[in-house]
Amino acid sequence: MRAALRIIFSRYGIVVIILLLVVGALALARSQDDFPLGSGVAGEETSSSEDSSTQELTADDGVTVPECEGEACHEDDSPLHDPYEEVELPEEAVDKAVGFAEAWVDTEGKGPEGWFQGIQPYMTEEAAALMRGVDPVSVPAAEITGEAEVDGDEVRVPMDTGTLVLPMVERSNAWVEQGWLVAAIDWEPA
Amino acid sequence: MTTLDGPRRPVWLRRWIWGVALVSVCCLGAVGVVAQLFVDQSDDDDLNGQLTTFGCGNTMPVDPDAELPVFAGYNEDQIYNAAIIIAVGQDLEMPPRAWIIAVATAMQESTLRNLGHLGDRNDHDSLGLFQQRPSSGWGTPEQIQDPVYASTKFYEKLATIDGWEHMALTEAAQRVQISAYPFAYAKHEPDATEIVNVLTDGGGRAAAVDYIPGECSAPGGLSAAGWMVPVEGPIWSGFRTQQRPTHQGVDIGAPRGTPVVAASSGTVITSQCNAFGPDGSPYSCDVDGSPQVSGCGWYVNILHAGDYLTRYCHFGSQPLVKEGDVVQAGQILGYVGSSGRSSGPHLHYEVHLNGDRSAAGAVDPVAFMANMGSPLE
Repeated sequence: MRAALRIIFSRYGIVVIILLLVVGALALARSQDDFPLGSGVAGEETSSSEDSSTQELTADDGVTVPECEGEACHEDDSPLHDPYEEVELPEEAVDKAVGFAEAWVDTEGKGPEGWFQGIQPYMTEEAAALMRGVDPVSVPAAEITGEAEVDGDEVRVPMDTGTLVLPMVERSNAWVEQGWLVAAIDWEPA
Repeated sequence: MTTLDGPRRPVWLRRWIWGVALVSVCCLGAVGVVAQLFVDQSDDDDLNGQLTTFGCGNTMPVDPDAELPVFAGYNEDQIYNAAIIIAVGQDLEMPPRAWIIAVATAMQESTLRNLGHLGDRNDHDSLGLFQQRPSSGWGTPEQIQDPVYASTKFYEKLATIDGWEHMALTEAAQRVQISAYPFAYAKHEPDATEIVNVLTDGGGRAAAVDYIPGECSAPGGLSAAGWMVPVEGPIWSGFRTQQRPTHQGVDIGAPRGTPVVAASSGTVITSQCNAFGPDGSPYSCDVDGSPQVSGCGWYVNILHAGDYLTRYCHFGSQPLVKEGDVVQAGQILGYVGSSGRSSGPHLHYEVHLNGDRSAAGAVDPVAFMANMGSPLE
């Protein structure tokens, strides 16, 4: 016993004890790093459903693009349509946007109410709410100068001092039952 | 000499032993500390590198006359004017959300240039940073062309609008400006937020409401940048992890039926069911899915200012919003469920850049949300 104590409290013993302490502390820190919250839960998930293949568990649980061929796949209400497909705006949407643009620049001799009545039928109710009370003198353009262009879900109308940008959406207002309407009015000065 | 001392070792041996002991202890300690630092560092880079890099605003007012940082796409004068707008907001004790709205508005109205009369091209009698009009009672032409006066008038009117703090930036700006292009301000929100963040050490990451200088937005609250967490809960699975390299979002654990809210204001561009059985045929979203089912289940895509897009998957029932709906930050979209490829109720949340709905546009929601002042978890 005395011999053992003497060895432990000798210089060598103390050196060994300190070494053990340091190594132990390092090992402890390491093992805690190995079990953060995320991977712990992921581990549980794997073990609790051993019957499923790992591929099913590690696959993305986001949007799946269905494999589909034929006309039906492109119909918007089909569950098999491509969720990433960009929908081209129909002629009707472009016509509606141009109709709005014509009413928007037509400010000659109009007060806020008269001008608003001209543009209101072309807009969603949300867009109209933000146009109410606007003084038509703040329209920064005088005339349409070219053909309207389609860019994604937007119609771009070139004007003398810039471009009027009109995102379109299928909606109802007091004038149309589920038709194409101007959802927002954006202006890019030239 | 007593017997307890035992035989004495030569001096060289004693020194050698003490040397080894010292070196072992010190080195091991140092190596341990360095190793620990590396581990911590890599964690920070993955999870909240953005948070550790930037603050949430500070108590120091911006000095427009100091040397200002350089921003791509803006010259010195433009940044000087932005700094004046922010400094006036700070002086009036308006919160950072107001600074962002004001800077974005001036970007649209004047590209941050203190415009004089533009002749024929002038939008009638509009002048200055905010294109205010003397004829509408904003002030004299001289006053309106003083950036401090113009900014003060902007903030004063903003403060009179009920609930402006919760509005989409473009709506709040329109209530002040009453322009003929009410949605034009939105596209400047990302740049305006960045300029405010850099000039004020992260003011955009402070709270939108009940702002305390230098304090980050509270969990679940709206940040000055206009973002909030869609649902509170632990992150079960991260973005493109080693185990799930194709996982394009984060999985947030939350009890079934927990409301999921819009992370920021925007327009709903998708609200539908995306689920397919093992044979590829359409599968119902009104029942719980499983790991064998593929797809997002009932899900919503929202397009935000700056062409950011957020996606919310696995709702338990049809979402409350439909395509074309304009939503505000915090508006309920649906409830946590387990439709589609899911082994239990959770929200799969994605963030995409440039309005790109495909996997190519996806970025790490954890880093993105931290930068917007609404960290997940």
